[in-house]
Amino acid sequence: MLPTEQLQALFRSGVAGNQADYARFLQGVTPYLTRIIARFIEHGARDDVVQEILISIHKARHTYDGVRPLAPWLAAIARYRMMDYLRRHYAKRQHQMVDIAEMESVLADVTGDTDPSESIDDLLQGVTERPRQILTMLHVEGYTAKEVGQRMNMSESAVKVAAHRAVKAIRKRLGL
Amino acid sequence: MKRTHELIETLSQEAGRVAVSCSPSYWLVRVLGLLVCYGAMMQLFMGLRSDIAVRLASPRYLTEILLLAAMVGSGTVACVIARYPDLYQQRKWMDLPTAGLGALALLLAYNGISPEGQGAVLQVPNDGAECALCIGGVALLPSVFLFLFLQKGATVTPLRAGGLAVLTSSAVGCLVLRLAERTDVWGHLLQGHYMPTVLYAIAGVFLGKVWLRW
Repeated sequence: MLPTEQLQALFRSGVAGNQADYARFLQGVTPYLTRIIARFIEHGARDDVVQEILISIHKARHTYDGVRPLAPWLAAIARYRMMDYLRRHYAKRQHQMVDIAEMESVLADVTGDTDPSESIDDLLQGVTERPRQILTMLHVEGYTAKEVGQRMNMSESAVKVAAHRAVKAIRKRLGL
Repeated sequence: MKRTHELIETLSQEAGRVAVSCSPSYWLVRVLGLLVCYGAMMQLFMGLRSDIAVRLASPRYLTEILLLAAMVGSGTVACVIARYPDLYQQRKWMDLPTAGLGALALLLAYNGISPEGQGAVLQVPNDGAECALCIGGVALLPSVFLFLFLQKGATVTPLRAGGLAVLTSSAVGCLVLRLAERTDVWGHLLQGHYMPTVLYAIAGVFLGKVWLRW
């Protein structure tokens, strides 16, 4: 990042109407913004979040006088947008939770005399202990996700996520 | 990164000359002046209680009035600095209204357990609704004004700012009513004045979530 005094001067010039200085100011603060959010935002989404922050800085530029310290002003806007992004991101993940019914289609129907655990054992090869236990309880022993969570001291959503990941790994191994 | 450069180019082309917002002291004088004038107008309309001179000689009543006035002042300061994303780097001023509310709560509690207040605690007043509506009515215009004022800024604490805006406006209403209404029954004050004020402030938090996000 450029020295603070230089950025402040560029900012003051920018809000006075100098578009080139304003562009230099935004370019100058971009690495600082990226560093602020790097700890909390995954690599693939950082550009999007930085762009949202730059737009917010543009919208809120009338609230900075170009004299008081710049970093707290930038950091406040960056944190605000970052929290917005994280809220949206985690809300979307919740809605994408896999329903138990979806997982049942992956595992073959077992009928008649067949021991249910036999048909599933082959599929569960390569699956680690905890997810294996979860899938067994869900599809062999007939527990609901909530009941599995209570027995294994996990939340219902954590059970679903673990089961979904295990099923995904199985699918990948089977080439489905 | 390419898209970031393109965005910067677009933003700089859009950027024209911008009037930078004045300092908090500029806004504080104006906003507080407006609230004081509005309060004075409301007081003229509602009048003063007939025993005001006697009551102002009572330390507890005077403390209550001063605390309410302090809440209006500190709430205005907090609303002004909430307008800036970095709180104009004066974060400590944001806590003053809450401290004022706490002090008021302590005073009320003390009044409630004092010998004069204990009889009143046992009463079950049912005439608080009118006072609550009166406070809400007086607080409406300043609340709208403070929300519009905050919207012109860029608050990064929309919930807190909304709550503070309504709390400040309700404190104006409480103060006006306290100077006009000739009753000091503890139960009535709690039920008809201060609990509605807190509820209005909570409503302000939710309104801030809707109207102050940008």
